Amino acid sequence: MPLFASTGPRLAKRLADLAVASALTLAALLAGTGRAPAQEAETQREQPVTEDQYAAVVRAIVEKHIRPAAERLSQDAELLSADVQALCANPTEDSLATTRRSFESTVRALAAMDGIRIGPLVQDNRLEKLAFWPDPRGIGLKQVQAVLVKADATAADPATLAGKSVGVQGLTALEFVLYGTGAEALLQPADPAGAFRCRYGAAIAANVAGLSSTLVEGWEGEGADLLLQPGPRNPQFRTHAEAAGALFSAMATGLEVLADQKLRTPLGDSAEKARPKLSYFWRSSQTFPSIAATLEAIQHEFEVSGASDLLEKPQLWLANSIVFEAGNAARKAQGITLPPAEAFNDPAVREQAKYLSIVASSLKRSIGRETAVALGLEQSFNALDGD
Amino acid sequence: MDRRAFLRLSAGTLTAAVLGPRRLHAATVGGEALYASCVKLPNDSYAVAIMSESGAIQFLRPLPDRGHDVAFDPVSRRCVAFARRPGTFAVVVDLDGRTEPVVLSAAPGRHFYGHGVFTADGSILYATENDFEAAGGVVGIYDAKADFRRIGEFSTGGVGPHELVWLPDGRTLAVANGGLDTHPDFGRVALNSAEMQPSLSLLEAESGRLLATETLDRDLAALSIRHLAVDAAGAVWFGCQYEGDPMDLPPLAGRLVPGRRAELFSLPDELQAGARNYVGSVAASADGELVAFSAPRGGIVFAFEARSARFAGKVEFNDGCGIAPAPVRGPSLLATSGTGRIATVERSSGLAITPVGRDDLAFDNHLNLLA
Repeated sequence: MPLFASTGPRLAKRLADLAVASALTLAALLAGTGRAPAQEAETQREQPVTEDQYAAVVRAIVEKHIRPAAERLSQDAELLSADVQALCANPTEDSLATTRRSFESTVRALAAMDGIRIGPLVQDNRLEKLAFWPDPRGIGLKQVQAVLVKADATAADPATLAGKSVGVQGLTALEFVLYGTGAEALLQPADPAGAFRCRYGAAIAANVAGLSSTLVEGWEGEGADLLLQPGPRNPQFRTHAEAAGALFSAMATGLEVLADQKLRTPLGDSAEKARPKLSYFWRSSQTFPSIAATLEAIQHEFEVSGASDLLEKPQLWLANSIVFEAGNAARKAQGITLPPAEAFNDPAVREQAKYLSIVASSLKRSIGRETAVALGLEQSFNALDGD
Repeated sequence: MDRRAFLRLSAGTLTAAVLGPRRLHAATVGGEALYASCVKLPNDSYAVAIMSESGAIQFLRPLPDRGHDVAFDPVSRRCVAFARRPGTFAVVVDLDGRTEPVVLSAAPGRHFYGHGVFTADGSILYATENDFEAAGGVVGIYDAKADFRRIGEFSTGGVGPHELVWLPDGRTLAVANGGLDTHPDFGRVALNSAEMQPSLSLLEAESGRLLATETLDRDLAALSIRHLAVDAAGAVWFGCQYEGDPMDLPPLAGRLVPGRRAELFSLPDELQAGARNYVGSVAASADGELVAFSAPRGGIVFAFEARSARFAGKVEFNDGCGIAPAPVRGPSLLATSGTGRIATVERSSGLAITPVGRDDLAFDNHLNLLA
């Protein structure tokens, strides 16, 4: 300990981290028996990326992308909450239309966080609470209908709603309230069912606003520390490289969800086998606008990460092609205006949706694999997608 | 577990094994024990690999997609490699190459979870499966003597079953109900991570009767019980994957002594974060005295002494996941990694790892001693 005694706690911790790092390297060398494996050879760069550089990538993503995205969701959710209250106080076609516009904007703000399923968004089941999807057996729908039929008072109070099943407290539940069968009752305040439906909607909107503001706080504090302060005591990341790797993996996860769950599943094998009702926010026609929002967000995240500055010459094309493809696909998604319930059965739109799905899968590979490897971020087989 | 179930289990250990587990002798080639593992090849295709204890691949049989675990019947010397969840194939491979591999398909409305076991006489194969419209775990029953015809199923008493193992009585199956609900429409996506109820069930194989179900405390509802191994004393050790808040550091290892409540074991404080809340597989050494857990996300393998449940140590093993008993009857195991490495892990002052070999392929989740 004499070496560490004179160096102060900060440096001592750094030295301890270094000791761990070199022990790992040594173990890796000892475990080797000669021939370099293919995936290890691919990571060879002329200039290795330093821990400081990885730290800068993580910091840029947190500050320039994640925090603003959480902030936007929180603002949209606040507005939505106010709009639902105004709708209940003064139910008119206009106030319903206004509420629906805020709802749609909030859904897109949530979709913009699909590439950052990490930290505060996945803690305390927040993602499932914000939107209970996918739901192939319609469990959430049945629960929401039960709340409405029973006029369950505990669901109309934000304080007790938060403790109920995740399926009845988020945006998927609110979507049914605002767009689902019987939504016209919202304009009949004299009808007890209509009044209850609105109060339940207001409670959901308040709950979503509360969850969103918790996200903002999380990304200001502990959630950001998780990514920004790796080390032996950090439950998830030992090094800045691992934290950066997790952020690129999260982008890849968002793209996989988009390609497979949001597009391939509702598309089915043919127009006859299409299942539009499995798609993301189809009642409010936000399926394709939210896909555009996810793609734009991932494009933005990739740009602000500074990854392109760290790529070496032979891989520079990757960054340009990622930004170009993501932007292009987002525009294509915005161009699909047919309601999802028809779009997934329409031959022309099906072709566009298939194309989107292929582009998203290819972006997933470019970001999650090729860029990650080019940046020297370790790719492992069992660790990434185990069982 | 209720008292009657305990008595039944105690009685079971005294009777001769009719169905159940105990190995005869390990299958060998040139005096070396054989192992099986699903693998990914450099051309991104999948296979099941049969190899010797020194790591020499004896042969590969292609799989239609990514595999998971391998069941072995020492009587007919056949392996069955299962698709990884939510796959629907299982491939039967004859160790001696007398017959071509046969591809089995899951029943309509079912998919495999990646694990299965044979009865000791090789007559029946049991596999964990998902009844995905009902969102219930089942054990599929296959007649191994009649082209693996599916002759029935019984409930696992939970959702998302994963590994199943025999208790030493040879009649009781322990099944890890991971608690995660999935539906093939949405692949591997967990549909209920907010409302999971993992459990460890003990079932009478012949009747499918649920003997006991052990659940963890409510605050550990997100601790998915996935992988199992039985030690020298007949206790079931389990390894968990935490689906809850990644900032939590719950215990990842546990032991169920039939008739008692399950116990959970944490790693020493300074190592707890290093397992990344994820155990990939569990295996006991051949003498059943050392129980090892792989944590591929943390790149470590750690172990507990079976009797005392004392932490025995940990070693670094990058992307290491497959573990199986070493053929010798000591506190020693063989481990494989996604980077193609094979190593022995054994008890020394703590735990020690020794490289054995490496192949230009990726070993998947599980390694099996063919015994």
